[in-house]
Amino acid sequence: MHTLFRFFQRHHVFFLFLILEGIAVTLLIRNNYIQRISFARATGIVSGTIYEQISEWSNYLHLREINRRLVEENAQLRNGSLHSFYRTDSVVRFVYDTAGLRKYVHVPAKVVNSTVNKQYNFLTLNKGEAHNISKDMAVTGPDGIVGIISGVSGHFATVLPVINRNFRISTKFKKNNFYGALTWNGRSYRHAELNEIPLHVPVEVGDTLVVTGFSSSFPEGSPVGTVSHFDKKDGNFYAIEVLLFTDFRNLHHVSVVHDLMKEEQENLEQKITDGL
Amino acid sequence: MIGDVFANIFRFALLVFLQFFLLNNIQFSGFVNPYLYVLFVLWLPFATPGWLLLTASFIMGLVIDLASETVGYHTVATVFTGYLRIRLLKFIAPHDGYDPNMSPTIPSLGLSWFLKYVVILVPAHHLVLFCVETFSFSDFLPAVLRALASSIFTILFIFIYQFLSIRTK
Repeated sequence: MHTLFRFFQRHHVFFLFLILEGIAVTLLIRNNYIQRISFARATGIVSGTIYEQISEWSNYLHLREINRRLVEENAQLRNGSLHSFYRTDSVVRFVYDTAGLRKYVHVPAKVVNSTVNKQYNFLTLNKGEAHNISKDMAVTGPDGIVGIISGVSGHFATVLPVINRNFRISTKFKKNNFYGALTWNGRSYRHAELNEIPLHVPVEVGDTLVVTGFSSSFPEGSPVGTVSHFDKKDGNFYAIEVLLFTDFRNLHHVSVVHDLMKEEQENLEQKITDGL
Repeated sequence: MIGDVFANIFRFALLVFLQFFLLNNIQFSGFVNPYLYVLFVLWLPFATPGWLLLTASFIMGLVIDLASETVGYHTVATVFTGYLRIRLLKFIAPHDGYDPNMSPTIPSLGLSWFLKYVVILVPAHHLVLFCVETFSFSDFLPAVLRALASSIFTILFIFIYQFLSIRTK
């Protein structure tokens, strides 16, 4: 008995090895049967959490590709949406369908170069004449307006963005349609200025501003930004500070809006001018 | 001594983390899959008693099994590696023996000794793992090839890990 005890003591490591391997092998073999279900279920909670985290991280790494697809999808959806069409009937109906003439085509483009810290900022897009883009077309981002095409080459286009001191656009309050001119004062790339709003207009912080359809190539109602600050400074007008929806520092994908009826409209207006 | 315990617990956690968030997601053509976590067993100090070493190996294998939704594969392979390590250290001991305060690393015993140590233990672990995973004799040869190919990568990672930990000291 004593010898047996000494034998076990001397080889305790080996016996522990046998025991632990025995447990492991038992787990392994029983794994093929009923055990598998309950054990896997219990472990599934642990590994499920881990894999969810991993997939979140890998999603982050694939954001570029995901973004590209989303922008394309957006452009496709906008092409199908109502405001891309010019309604041919003059009677107001409440049943909307897409049986109209197309007015807007959205071309997805990627911002390949941009500045935000200058007074006369510019963007460069990776689409140009080859994609039917021409001067003065509107450019919108996922959140709001971006700018106007200012120059085009074969495969690239430059954009005069909202954050350029030469930019000017007619903007109105979404809630009551009072309009004024939106310009940029060169101070912050997140903010623009809205002028020419008379003092009798009720203005509140947080009011949404959209584009009027008057002077620009933007579809009417394209989102611009919200009122972030205002005061009654000079004379009869407000000085309104607008927080732009578009964050130019974080702008990667945009769509260029091709207004198919702009030419027709301009030709007609030109005739009036000529006639006078 | 207490510092050693904490260093090893930290290494345990770090290796499990690396295995799950990095190595298991790297697919080297789907054929090789490095298992760096075995470095934990390899790096335990010389003074570690046999029972503790085996128990630690068992726990490491179990944790990896738990997290990869397998049952027993890693535990079998890791406990085997732990036991083999005890035998091997006696076999390849230098003339003046081991310093019990040290761990089997490159700085403590030199590159050639460490290479010998790793080149025996890592393929042993991988062979057991891949063969147990296959669990049949017909696919035996591909499993061996996978084990050897993966061993090369694991050893490579072990060296990178060691060099990085030496440089940060």
